[in-house]
Amino acid sequence: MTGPLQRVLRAFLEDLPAPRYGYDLMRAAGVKSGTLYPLLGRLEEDGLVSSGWAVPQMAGQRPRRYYRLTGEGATVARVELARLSAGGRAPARPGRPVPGSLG
Amino acid sequence: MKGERGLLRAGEFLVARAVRRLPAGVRDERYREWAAELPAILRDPSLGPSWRRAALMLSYALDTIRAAALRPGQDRYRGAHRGRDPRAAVKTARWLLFLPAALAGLLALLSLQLLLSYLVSLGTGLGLWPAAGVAFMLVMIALLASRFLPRRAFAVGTVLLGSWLIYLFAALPAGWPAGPPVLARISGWGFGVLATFYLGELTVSAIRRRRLQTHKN
Repeated sequence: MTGPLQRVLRAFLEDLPAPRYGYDLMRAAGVKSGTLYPLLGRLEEDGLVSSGWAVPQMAGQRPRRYYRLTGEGATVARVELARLSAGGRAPARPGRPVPGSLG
Repeated sequence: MKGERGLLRAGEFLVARAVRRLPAGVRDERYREWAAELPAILRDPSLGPSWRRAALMLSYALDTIRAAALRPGQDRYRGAHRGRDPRAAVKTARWLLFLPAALAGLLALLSLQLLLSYLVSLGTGLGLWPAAGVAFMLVMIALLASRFLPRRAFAVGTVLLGSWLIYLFAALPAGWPAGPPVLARISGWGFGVLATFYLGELTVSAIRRRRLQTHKN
């Protein structure tokens, strides 16, 4: 698991129910847009993240796409991060948590 | 914030450049998603002074080019119509960094040309040469503007260049500029550089059109 992916997952887990938009995640995880969006795309493809459009509460702002961890995503994120904290090996494919890796 | 509209347009231009690397099916959605962040960044007071917000916004917009090109996996994430080499995205990003500097340099050169034409016209009376110089400057300005306009405007710029060349040959019998030699030399170099830039533009456009045609076939 790459550093940016860890930081993005940690940012999601900080406030699990809250939907996060792209720039919010960039700030929280300290990654650039060129890193974040491909990550989010892969997580979404794997079913670990879901997204949807919403109009911000502040007037005059454009509709934004918000992301949040799915139930499976939250579980995978917690387990993978815990494994890393415990000094476990990273998944075989860098930057891509394997949903079935929980066993 | 002063100049906000212009900055947003610059950011949207960069995002539009980025999403061009994506297939048509996802282009619009990605554009809306990424462009929606631009005003939010620009107006976020927690990010610091306005110049820093502007820099962060442009940095965000510039980096979307990487976001559009570096996704591994299926071709649709790499912009199948643009080839499969992700390094191309980095080259584009570098070019976009270079572009503002190049444009600033060209604008400075155009200003110098205008000043030199004015000085020459003061020394010799308004002859054909300064008028040709001004006409050429107008052509160059049209060229720069055409980079941000549809292809038709670029074609207009080409016609203007042809008109200028005809006018130049008509002006030559009237003699070369009689201003200070150093300034005349700089002026001559300036014309050369600008003409080279324009011809380069024409060549690159022709190559792009040919590649596109080949790809379609």
